[in-house]
Amino acid sequence: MKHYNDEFFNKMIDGEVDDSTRREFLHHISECKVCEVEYSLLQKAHNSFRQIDIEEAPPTLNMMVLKRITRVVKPSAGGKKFFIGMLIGLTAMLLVLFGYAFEVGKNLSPKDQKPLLDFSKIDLSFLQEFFNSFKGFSEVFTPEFGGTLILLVISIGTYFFVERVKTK
Amino acid sequence: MAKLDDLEIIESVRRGNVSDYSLLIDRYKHKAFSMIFRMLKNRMDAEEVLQDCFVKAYNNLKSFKGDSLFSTWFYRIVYNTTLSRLGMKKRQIEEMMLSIGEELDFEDPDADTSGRKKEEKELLNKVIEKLPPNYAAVINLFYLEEMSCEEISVILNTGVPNVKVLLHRSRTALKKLIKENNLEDELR
Repeated sequence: MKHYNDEFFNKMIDGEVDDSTRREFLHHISECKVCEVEYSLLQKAHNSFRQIDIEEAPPTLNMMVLKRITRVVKPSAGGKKFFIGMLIGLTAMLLVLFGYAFEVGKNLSPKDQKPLLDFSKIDLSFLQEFFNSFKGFSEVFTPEFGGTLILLVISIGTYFFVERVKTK
Repeated sequence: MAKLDDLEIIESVRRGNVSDYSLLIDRYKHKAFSMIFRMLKNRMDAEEVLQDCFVKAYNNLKSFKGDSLFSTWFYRIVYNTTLSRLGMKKRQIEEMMLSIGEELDFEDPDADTSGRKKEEKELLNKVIEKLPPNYAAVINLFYLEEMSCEEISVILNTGVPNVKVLLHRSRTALKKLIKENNLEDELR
């Protein structure tokens, strides 16, 4: 007598067998003890899997996930603030460093436009002295270099000022 | 209050109600944890991976277009993140899935039990413990999540015939153990 195999039993369980084949099989197992037992065992395995336990997730999961999510959000908001603050600071610095007083309406040529700051007229001797105290740095110091340093300090200061105002 | 569906919760989270994400976590955490735990066979690792999955899903919520069910999309994240933790390369997984003729190896099923007959649950857990990760994933998705083989194939990024092979071989392995341990009469 021909016996059915596990592959066929699995198809029976999954309902992938057409009606006539199904009827033929049911008739077969009514007479064949071997196939009846094998099919019944596979059905038992299938039913056991249906009773598979759900493993409990840790109770702190929600809290931990929300904590991580909000931690992800904060730096990006801070990053935006930082970007805006730095942009304002750098714009202020660039305006002063490279900006010219465009005397609107007077149609002046670029050579007649005057810089807002003429570093050579500013007394930066205190910075000069500071740099002189470092060997080798005295040659580096120029009025523009000193002015740039001061403006850098101003831009950082502006950033912190903007941040503080925003926080309030 | 009416129970919100997944898409409604996602919309709410996208509008900025981050705390509503807890509703989605509650909906999926136990079943996702069951799948990860059975794939990794380690509770602590599974807890970490579960957290990572929910964080990843949140960070990628914008890319969820709703073309598929949220559960399918989320379980893809769960499956891939767990595989990454296992350090398994895609090629290895494909090879494992394609080695259809190979039998599952359940060495010495009586090794840690003294009695002749074992409890049904104990046996079931023993089989699941021994299942390779992709088999464990299929068993969880099919029996716990009650997903179709088509949905599972999307999650595992493989063909439906491969999913069926994994499912059938898992059942056959349990059948073999039931037979070997003479549990036929004790099981329904």
